[in-house]
Amino acid sequence: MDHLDAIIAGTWVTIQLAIFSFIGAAAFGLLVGVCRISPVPSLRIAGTVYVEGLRSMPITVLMVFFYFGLPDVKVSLSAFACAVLGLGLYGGAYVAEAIRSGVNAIPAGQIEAGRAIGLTQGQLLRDIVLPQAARTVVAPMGNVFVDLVKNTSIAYTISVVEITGTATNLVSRYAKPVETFVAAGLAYLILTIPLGIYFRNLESRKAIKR
Amino acid sequence: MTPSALERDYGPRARRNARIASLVASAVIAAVLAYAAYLFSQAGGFAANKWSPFLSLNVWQFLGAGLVETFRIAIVDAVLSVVVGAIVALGQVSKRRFLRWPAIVYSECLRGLPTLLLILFMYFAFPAFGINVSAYWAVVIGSAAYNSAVLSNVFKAGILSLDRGQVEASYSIGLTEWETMRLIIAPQAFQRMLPSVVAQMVVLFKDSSLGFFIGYEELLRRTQVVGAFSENLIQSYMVAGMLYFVLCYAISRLARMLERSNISKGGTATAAA
Repeated sequence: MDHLDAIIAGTWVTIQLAIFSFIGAAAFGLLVGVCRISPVPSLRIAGTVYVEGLRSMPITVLMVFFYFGLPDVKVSLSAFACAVLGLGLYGGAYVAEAIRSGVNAIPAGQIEAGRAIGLTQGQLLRDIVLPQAARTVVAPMGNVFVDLVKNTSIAYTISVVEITGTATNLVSRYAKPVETFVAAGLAYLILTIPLGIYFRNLESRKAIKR
Repeated sequence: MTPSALERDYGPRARRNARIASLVASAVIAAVLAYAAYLFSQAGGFAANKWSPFLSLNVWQFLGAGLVETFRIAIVDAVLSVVVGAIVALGQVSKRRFLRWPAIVYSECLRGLPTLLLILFMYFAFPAFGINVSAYWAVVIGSAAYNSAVLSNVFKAGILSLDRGQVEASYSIGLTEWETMRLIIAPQAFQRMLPSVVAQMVVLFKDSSLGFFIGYEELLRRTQVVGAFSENLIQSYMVAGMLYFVLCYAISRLARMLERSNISKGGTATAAA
């Protein structure tokens, strides 16, 4: 494998894409998730529209929209920024959904008890609900992260040279498709399989058994 | 969607506060959307000549043909994924090691790879083995490889969720291992996991858009053609996004309906994520 350094450079770009978009997705998803479980109807509707809309959209559409579409209305972002934006918004919908299901897994009695001793909604969320939900969402958040790593491959369409982009460049230059794609596949597996195992272990340690 | 305990049982004051907050939040959201629309129209986004292509029948015929291709990919892909996924799931729960290990490796490795990479591999690498794969089959097989691995895990979870006593009972009335699986376990596991399977169909449907990458003329690729030809890329992407949304949302509604009917039949809730 003469082009290992190229694949490693691509892997580094993939890691950066995944980490930046995961931070974005987690922050944004938390916001949308809290909206979806809030007592305020309009926030709940907005959150639901967001989650359903983004989950029903191929990530490719989002990325080409930002990269090829936005310049039509005089907004130009770098390819990397478009990829992070697309992945972050997309991942945010899944994070929001994970948070909502984590919150809904908390027995209603706890919330009623919290209300009975006079906690406000904010206190209830901060002290009772979110700390427990955080432990329940470990597994779904792990899935979101692994999915983000895999979805970074779509950034190749907007010319971000991550693993898949590197591989297609190498294939068109050296015409060794089998070796190149196998190497690219291994690069992904080196990222995704340990992540999967790590999150599974984390889940078995953190999750609340009910 | 039933409201969680957090969303109900408020007192009168909290209800009033929520109503006020709701009005304020609506106003803020409306203002943000209006501002975005204003910026969009300032940049000429609502100009008539940008949207007029979508009033022409030819454009819709062209896009419609792309949509047919999208469905052709998705349907064959779905059938392949379910069949292969079921077989791999049987392998994963098998007692025989030579069946179990290949199935586990298949599921773990393919789930860890991007679908796009699998499609590119089918399209560019298989000719090196002397097998020419058309763009259509590259998308279908690449996507089915990934989705069958995911579905195999769904089916496996369904099989393992059934009470062990059922297997013991059917052995004790003299059914063989295969008969037990075919007559007792598989039908129940499938029924139980049907909502999750349908939910995975949303992913599978979205994967059809990966045909875009290898020039297969499905909906997204044809949208791109329309947008490049009429110089209205952003408007075209919006139309494509709406089409994908309507179709995927319909599938996820179906998944939720199935889930609800499962629960009302006394089954357990499965996460249709």
